[in-house]
Amino acid sequence: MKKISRRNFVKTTAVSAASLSLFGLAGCKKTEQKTAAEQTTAAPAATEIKTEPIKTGNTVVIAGGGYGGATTAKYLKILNPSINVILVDRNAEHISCAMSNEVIFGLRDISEITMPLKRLADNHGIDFRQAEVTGLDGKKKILKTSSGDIAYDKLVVSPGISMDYDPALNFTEDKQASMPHAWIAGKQTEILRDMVSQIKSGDTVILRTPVALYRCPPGPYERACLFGSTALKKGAKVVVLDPNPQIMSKKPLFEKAFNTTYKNILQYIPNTKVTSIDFEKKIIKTDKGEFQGTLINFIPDQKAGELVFTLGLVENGKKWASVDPKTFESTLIKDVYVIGDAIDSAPVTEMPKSGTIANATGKVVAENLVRIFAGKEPLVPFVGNTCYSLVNDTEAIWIATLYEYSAEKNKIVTRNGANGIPEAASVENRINGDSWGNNILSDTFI
Amino acid sequence: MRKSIIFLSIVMLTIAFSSAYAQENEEGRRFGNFCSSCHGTAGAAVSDAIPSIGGQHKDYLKNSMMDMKPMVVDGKEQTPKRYSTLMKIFLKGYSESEIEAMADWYSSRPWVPTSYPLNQDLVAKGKVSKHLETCVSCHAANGNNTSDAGIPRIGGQVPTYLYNSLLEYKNDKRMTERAEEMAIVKEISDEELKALAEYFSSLK
Repeated sequence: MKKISRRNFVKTTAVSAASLSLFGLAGCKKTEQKTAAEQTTAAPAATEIKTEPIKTGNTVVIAGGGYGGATTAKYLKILNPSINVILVDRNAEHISCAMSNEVIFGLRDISEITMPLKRLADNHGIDFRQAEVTGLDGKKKILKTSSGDIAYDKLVVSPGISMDYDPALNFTEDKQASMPHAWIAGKQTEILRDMVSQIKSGDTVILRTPVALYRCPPGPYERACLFGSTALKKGAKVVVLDPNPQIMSKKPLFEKAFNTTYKNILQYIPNTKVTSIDFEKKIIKTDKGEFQGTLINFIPDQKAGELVFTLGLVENGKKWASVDPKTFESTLIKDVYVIGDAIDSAPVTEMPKSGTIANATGKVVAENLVRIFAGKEPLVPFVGNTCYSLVNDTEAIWIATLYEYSAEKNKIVTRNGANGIPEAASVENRINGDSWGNNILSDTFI
Repeated sequence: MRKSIIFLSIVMLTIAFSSAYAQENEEGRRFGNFCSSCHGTAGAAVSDAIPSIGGQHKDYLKNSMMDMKPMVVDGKEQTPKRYSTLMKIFLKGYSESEIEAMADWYSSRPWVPTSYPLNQDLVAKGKVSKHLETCVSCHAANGNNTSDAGIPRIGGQVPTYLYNSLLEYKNDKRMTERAEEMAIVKEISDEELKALAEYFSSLK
């Protein structure tokens, strides 16, 4: 009980984070008073824009309030409070995908990863608008939304992922109430959590992992381990059907967990193609045979968030938005930047589709927009990635990589061999991972 | 008279603030931009196990990073003097001058004492520990000795990190140039170290 109240604490630190940005962080000469004044004038200006777009000269509009968009908005305001920052999201709050596996397996409450965007906006003087983005006029620089047109000088788009359904499987959204993938955190996270709590002796869980590239490379294997941990406690079994040739992240460490802790109850089958799903009988047919389960968790393949398709930021035939690795500017529309999971990463970077990378690239884009508005050249990306994964309820593993843009390869690559994973899972890593989770939520959304 | 003194103080404070922040080490900020995802915005951690680094003394920050960085001697990577989990991986990627720039930037940020919920029983025990005097002799009564920038600011640091640090000294996992001075912790029980850590976390 005490542990949960300590964790919940991340939600109550808004005041200290806000005071930080007002006093200490801002590298600019603006005073606190000026920031406050801007905040009070932001509201009327916002309503005017609805009917008649006004260009202010340094307006950044951000579509998508996840790790990428929220970080960009916050850091723009920290670096230069005089920049007019408008954040648009269809939802009032963002539910973090990072740590949502912990919610599914009862290790965190969903309220701990539910981040109201208005709180972030109020803390930093960001103009938050809950609206659906409907289109883009890249020439006139106007973002069209369900609550009116918004003029921008620079547009940052960070929509995350959407599901790339295989039509042959007929795994449509209406099927997901009884068979949630829970790979975008929200209602499905809670449905799957409730299903997990019902797992009983003799049950079989079937987990199908997505084809690379997908959001959070270690995530499916962390989920496999936590299914394994539940199965051990309840006397159930787990079958992991992986379309990829091997475990896609932190491989030796997940492999060790599969082959030791979960040896007798978890079957990992790589190179497996699912050919059909019998939703009634809960049977998955594959090229490696048929599998019947009591709980099926089918994680579909993925593509960029629908938004980048709507806005014309995806090349024909591609599934992700193409960007210039020097700046994250779209290769298709000028003054539009795409960050986070939605970018076509393979040609331009070794970086994974992770919340930490979305957070880090948000900071890079914020720094560069501030530089551009000040008449300076943007600087090439320099970022790091960390993420922790649980291998059971009390032990975790991590990956750490430092990345930098290489002019020679025109790609964001690992810097000086700074890449690694631990030798083994540990409780220490779990404790640090818990702190990492709360700190990145705060750094991004508070 | 009083009003003009207040006004003058405000003017002087404003000048002090703007000069302190106008000269931000932008290179350090760039190299360390992503560190805040684990260490908190501007290095002010909100959780308990990963240390706050914003406002920490520059020399200490630099020494810590250099001590965790794996050095290569005759083509062989050496075990760093200071134990770490993933910091040794990241630090491999940085040069000494880049580490110095990051230390410079993070040390220029405000120190935000932890607001993490503390165990008040432990705080009280730490406060009356017979070893407190020894800690204070170097770290100062408020846990912030400003006369030696190689001694970390521990007043208001996050609690689990402080306790783990003491255990690392105790178990010879932090063999830095300060290890000899910190050898005192070998005579103190884990329970009492935890109380001392919690007490120093409670300071501002």
